[in-house]
Amino acid sequence: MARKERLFIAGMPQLIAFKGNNNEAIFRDSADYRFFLSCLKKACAQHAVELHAFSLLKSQIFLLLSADDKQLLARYTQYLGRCYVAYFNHRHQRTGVLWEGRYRSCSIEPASYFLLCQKYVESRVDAGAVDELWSSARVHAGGEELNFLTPHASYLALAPDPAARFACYRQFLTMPLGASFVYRIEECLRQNCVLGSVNYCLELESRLHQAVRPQLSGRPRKHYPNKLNYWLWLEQEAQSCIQGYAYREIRLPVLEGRAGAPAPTTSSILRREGTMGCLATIAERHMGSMPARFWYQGPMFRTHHLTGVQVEQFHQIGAEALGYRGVDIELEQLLIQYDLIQRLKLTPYLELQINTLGEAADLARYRFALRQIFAPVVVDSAVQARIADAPETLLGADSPFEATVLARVPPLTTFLSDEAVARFAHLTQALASAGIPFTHRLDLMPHNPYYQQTFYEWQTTYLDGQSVVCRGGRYDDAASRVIGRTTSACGFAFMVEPLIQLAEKSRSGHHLSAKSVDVAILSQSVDCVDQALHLGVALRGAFPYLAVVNDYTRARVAGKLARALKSGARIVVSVHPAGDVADLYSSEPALRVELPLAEVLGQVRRWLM
Amino acid sequence: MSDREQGAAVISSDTPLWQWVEERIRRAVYRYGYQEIRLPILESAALFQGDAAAQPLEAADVVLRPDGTPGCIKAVIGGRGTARQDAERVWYQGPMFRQGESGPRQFHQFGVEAFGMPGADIDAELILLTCDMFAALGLNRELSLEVNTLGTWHEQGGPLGADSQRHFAALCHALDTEGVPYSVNPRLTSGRGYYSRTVFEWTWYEQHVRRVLCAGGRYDELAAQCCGRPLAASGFAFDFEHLLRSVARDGHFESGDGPQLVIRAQRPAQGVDAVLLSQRLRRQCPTLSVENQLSDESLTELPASAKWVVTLLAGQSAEIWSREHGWSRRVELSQVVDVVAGRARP
Repeated sequence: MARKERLFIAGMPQLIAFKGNNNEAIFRDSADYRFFLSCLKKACAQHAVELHAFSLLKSQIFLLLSADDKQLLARYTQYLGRCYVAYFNHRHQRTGVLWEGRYRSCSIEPASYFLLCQKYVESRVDAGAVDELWSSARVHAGGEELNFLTPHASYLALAPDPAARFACYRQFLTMPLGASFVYRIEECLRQNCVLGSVNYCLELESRLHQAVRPQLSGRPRKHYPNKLNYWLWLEQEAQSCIQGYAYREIRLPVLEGRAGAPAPTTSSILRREGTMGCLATIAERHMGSMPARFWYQGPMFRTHHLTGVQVEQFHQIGAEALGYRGVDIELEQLLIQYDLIQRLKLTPYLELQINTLGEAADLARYRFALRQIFAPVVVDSAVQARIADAPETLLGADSPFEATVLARVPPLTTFLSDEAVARFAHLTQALASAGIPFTHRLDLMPHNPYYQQTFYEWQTTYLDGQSVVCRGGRYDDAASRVIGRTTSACGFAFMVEPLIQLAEKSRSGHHLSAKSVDVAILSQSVDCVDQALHLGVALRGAFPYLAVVNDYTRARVAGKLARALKSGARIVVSVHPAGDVADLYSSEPALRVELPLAEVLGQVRRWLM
Repeated sequence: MSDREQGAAVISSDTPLWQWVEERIRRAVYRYGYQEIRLPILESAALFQGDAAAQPLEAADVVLRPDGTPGCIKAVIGGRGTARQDAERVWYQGPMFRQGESGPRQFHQFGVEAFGMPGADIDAELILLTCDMFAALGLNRELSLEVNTLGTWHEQGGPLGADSQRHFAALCHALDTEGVPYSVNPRLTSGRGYYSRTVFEWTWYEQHVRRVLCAGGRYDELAAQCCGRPLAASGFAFDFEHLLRSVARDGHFESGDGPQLVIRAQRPAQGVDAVLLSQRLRRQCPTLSVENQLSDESLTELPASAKWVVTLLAGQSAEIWSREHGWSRRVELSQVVDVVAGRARP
């Protein structure tokens, strides 16, 4: 098979990893490390490559760099190998290859993933190597200077002056890197892909006409197992998980709207999402007992995004907490989500991205600034309405504005009050100590106008259609408007369809079997159906937890038997035409016996015990 | 009844009942080998042609489903043109919609359908299944079963054919042998043009007014009309909200357990610590149900089911109260999980 051409996208930083052949040591003592550093320095000086971060492990090397073109990068890595491998072989009297295969590489979306990637590189350490750390961590966290390193713009943007930057970066390094992120970065390295957000990758894919996201291993499936099993499994897990946190289920009507007032159209009263329905129900019924925690599940409806006419059905599982002002409820809800994702075995595929919009006053100032920028730009009336209402929803991936307009948008962080920053820091520290990996994405913007303070999304890159599996956050003002008095509210919703798609694709529910029959009973002629019916009643009475199925079709006996065995039944009882004797088949152990009908129950009990 | 006009939300005080009934019913149908199916709420209008109760949607040829049966037939036939030998046993539940005077009305239906089995034996099985369900819910004393035969559509209004008579005799014989009490009610004819042969209803009397909880029967001819080829079909359905009201009135529902352990913090600033502690407790003691009283809840209310109460105090310590042991001790925060799990003594 021909080698895959290496993916190189101009303007994107690259992560490069060398590995020792057969995991053997690339560095045997500190002299080796030092010589490699000198090679790096020379390589950086001779080739126009910017080295941002590195880490030298006993048998691995990670480099984070930017190069203007592919040729330059190739020359750079070639130079490193030519210098170091010759030195190493000569010094340690060995011959042959040092690296294992080609070096692995992946491109990194600079805006949202660069710093995380730098942290990944600098947090790779050999077990036991504490005093001598051969990585750029000491440079970035302060303390040392290496003149051949070029700090990346994302790192410089942490803080204007070096001292504050060092402190900020040290703080950043203390938070653990999530297992899902490490899994993803290693998949990207292995498959030579782009490490970036879904929308960024989709845009690249349409520009380059080539897949840039990592694929799940294995051939795409031709047949998926029964979808309903996944569905029921998901519902069961969600119910036991959310109710385990003392949330009470609420069943909402599918049709919304006030009684008495006839709706203009039927499709307009189909519920669109759970949050507002939940709030409206509470407001309507004057359920005063706050604080309260609810969860709901069920079908929702939306107008098809292309036709604009057709209504389609989708499903959500969500939870809302009303009357809690503290940051602890937000933590609790994030814990619920992580718990459910763990139960569904989807942790490697989902990433938590979180941001804060600040308090109501902060958000109002940010919105005002956004309106100043957007108002002069000519757009249609629908966008005008959104500018007037919540302009921050226009900053997402499907923004109607051109890049030149968006470039003038000031960063949200400059509008945040100290209280909002402290509150968010409290939450992120708690998340870190709870062991939930997350990414603080400054450019994450909500898609609807409700949110203030914290909001978050669980994203995946493994699905084509939809990248967001769960969304949530705080929406005090929106809730207060619906309920009619000041209320604190915080909630989240899982989208069931993408979750199931992801579970199917990653085969996380492979333990689910479609077999749901324990004992099958069939009659060999129409004359003995009464006996078969009675046997079924007797078996169900004796074994209340077994599924006992009577076959009442008029098919041939051989056909009925084949079908009964295929259905997964452990025991098949075939009643003879006279109605007094039956054949018993057991699948494990594979046995067949002929018994009087009266003794069937005893034999079944013996086989099942 | 005004609630039902718009489809009432079931508020959380009712959901334990709802969940309990669902769980009981689910277990009963599982024992008979019925598979759950999920039907779309929006169905094509062609499927419900001639059903005046179906609520159409604007600008699209879809309706809000008024009934589960046609959806089941469609799902079971699955677009296959040829007759299938397989017997299919399915059940469904969910909201259904009927056109009302002030717009569509939502109600909740539960239904069981069996396809591909032409004999009276499956009719008897369905009746036995309803018996089991009502027994599991504690309703069997109040309800009585009425059965009748309507004959085929052709025979309705005239004398019954020999086949229909034989079918009904077989059903009655099966019910007699299994000891199911029933009465034959020749006036049970409201399902003409829908059911053929067997019909049955579970009824009760509320202040001398006859009420129907569950109705079912055989509908071979309707199914054949629906899918365009012969299909043996039999089933029943009930209004879930009726059933809930009956269970609330006559059944033996016992409310489930509340949280066994309650965590609360003395000072609001410790709310996050309390949540983190509850996460450790949930991981270490998976069978324990833990409730967090967050910083905005008052500390006075305690659920009656609580066996343990953990109160976070200032300075990394906590007070543990145990109902079982009848003591209240002060321990280090790091020891709480071990004390509750029984690995350490306070």
